[in-house]
Amino acid sequence: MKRAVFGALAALAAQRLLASPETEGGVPPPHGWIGTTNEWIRGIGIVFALLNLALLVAIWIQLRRGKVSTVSKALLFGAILVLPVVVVFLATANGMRESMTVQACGACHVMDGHVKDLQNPASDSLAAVHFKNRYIQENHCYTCHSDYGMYGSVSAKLDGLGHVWHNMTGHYPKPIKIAHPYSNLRCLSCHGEAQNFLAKHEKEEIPKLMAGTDSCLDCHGPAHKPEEKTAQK
Amino acid sequence: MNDTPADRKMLLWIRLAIVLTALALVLALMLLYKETPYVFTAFMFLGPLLLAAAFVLLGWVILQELKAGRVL
Repeated sequence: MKRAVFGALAALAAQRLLASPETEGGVPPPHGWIGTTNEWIRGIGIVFALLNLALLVAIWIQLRRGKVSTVSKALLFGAILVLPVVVVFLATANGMRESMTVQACGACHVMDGHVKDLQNPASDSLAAVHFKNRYIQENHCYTCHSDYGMYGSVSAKLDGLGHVWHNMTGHYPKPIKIAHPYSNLRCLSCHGEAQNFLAKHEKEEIPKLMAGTDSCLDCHGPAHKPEEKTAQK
Repeated sequence: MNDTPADRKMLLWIRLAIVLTALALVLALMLLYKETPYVFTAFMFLGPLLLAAAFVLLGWVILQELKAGRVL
């Protein structure tokens, strides 16, 4: 019981320590008094991982002393077969969530130009207009660069894996270009049923946009205006 | 555990399982503390593999102990 209370308190302290507002220079997003799910996942994950490591060290010491009791065997079972599964699950959930953020996309130096343009209030690029007006609440890069539906997320993660590889090996075209033609459906998923969109576009134009014959970016581009100096590796 | 060669081998496997689990946990801790694309990629590839190897090693030791105890 004591351990559970201590664990909960430590998790709360950890999530308070680790909490970082996503908005720089603006009003931080509301967290509520108890924090967000992701903060709890991180906090509990860290507590469990540290507890698990401490348990492994204790068992290692017992093994060195040659004292292998039934209790230490049970602890070994918990420390290798039970607790790590929980930690890996929490770490994966945290990794999946955090890999969608603008910070994760901007972690590679080559994306500096795109991220600076995105966050530049003076920029009139499509991405910057969406960012400064908060048309998208969070995960700005990910929202526009992943397809909708279940496979959209899987595909985006696989693309991300490729981006990490290209960044590590330095094999990417300069200036950075999108790998595949941008799908209008990503725009239309939000704008498609908006009255503003329907009022401003001719009826016969909409099927062409849906089929991809015309691109939204033909009229509303460019999507990004990166400073190429900062985008060079 | 006694000091027979078989016991020493099992002890070695247990230690190896502990080291592999600890490595997976360190990767998980790094990911939980601060996520970067590199850490995430490393964790997704290595974390489950390290844990699976530790599972197999410990499972093998448990199986051997059960056999030695004539349970199986």
